[in-house]
Amino acid sequence: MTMYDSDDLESNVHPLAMQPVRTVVRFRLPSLRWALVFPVAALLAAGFLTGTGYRYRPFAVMVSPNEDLSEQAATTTDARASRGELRRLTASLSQRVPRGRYIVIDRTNNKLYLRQDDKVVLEASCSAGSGLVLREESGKKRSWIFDTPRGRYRVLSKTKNPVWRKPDWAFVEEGQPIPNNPADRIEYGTLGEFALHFGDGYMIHGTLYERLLGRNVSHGCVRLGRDDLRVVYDRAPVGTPIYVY
Amino acid sequence: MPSTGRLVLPLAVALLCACGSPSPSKTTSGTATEASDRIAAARLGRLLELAEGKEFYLVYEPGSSHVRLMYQGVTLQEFAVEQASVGVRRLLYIEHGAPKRWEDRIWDDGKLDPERKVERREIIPPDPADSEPEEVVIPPTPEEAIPSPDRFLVRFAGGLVVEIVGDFDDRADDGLLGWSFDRLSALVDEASSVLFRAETDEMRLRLVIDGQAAHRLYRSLPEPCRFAVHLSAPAG
Repeated sequence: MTMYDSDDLESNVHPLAMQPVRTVVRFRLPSLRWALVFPVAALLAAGFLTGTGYRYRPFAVMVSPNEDLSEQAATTTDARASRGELRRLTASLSQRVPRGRYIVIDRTNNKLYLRQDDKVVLEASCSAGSGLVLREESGKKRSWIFDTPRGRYRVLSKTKNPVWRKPDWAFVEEGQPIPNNPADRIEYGTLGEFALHFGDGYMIHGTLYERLLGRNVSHGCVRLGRDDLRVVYDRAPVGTPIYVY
Repeated sequence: MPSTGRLVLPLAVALLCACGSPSPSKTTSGTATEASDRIAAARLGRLLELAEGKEFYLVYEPGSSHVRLMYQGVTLQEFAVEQASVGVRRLLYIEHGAPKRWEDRIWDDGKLDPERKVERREIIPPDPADSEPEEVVIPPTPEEAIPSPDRFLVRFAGGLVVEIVGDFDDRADDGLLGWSFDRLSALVDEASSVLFRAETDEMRLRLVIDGQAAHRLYRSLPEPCRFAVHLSAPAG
């Protein structure tokens, strides 16, 4: 055990350590300058956020259709517009709207609508193109994209108990060789009871996989459930317009 | 007592004047009708121009409170508009006016924001030598494949942005925190749009439609699309 006297201790310790510890707590009132700066900054920030962006007003307030007719009339492109012109335009527009029934296909949400004028006669769940890509590894190195094409079509023909003549991609997809004999391409029952052809090999037809309706699974055709297909087949004659979007 | 001849002459002159020139009220009414016809013709002309085009288009009809997705004059899908408002840009409370006659224009090149991402996968044909049955993969539903925001923009060239807001009455309330977060993110989006997209986001047309319908529209809106407002015919 080492003993130190008080002199030894004082000589070995750092002089600053011997200073008495003083804790000074000062309470200060914020200066007037800071008292102003903080609220102003907060106000500016809030003002910036709430005052920058878009000021919305009801549509009717922003547009008044009958306001200043003469000015609007002066700016219209066709100064010779008259009742006759109005009739011509109305007729041109109405000619574009199909009379009777037409089919609308929402290829993304997998819905088919049979419409008559402004009314929906049938709303059905369908399956449109999967959007998948298939590439041929050998041979001609072709590739296919399985989309249902957008646009305006017509029912070109209708078939009962359709037979599927398998195209080349069906064999490539299955990893099978493409047959030379056309008879080897024929498949029965795959397309359901009916088919409505709308061009380029695309059809509205039935399916063996009704549980997949509502999903994008087809190779571009539009698959329908048995009951809905029967309604469409019965009510959409050849020539019925088809709109796909 | 004045003679009869002195009274007849002014009366005849007055009568002639009355017959010879149309009354001011009739003239005003005729001009208003002509003007109204011209405006109606211009509006129909716009619809015809859209119908003759090759692109899909949206038409907002304030009269019937509907926005329609159309193609070649045919309504493909229509959505009831619950609320419509027009937003003009403002920077620190200083407002910029909406572009003149914005409602009388056809807006082109409409693109979705946020961008709709569609993943294109490739089919791998099975190996004929492999005798094991391949695994059946159930593809996703459209809702799973393309997640849709509750609020999205269709940005058109020239400065118009159509803002589609889905109304979800049946959705569980997220509480004050959820509301304030949504509000704050909308404020930040609007502020950044004004600050950094002044050229392309000159004004906004906000249309509130049913939430599920808004999701459907986001998933299926063909791009690029066109847009026009079709106001009902002015009173003639």
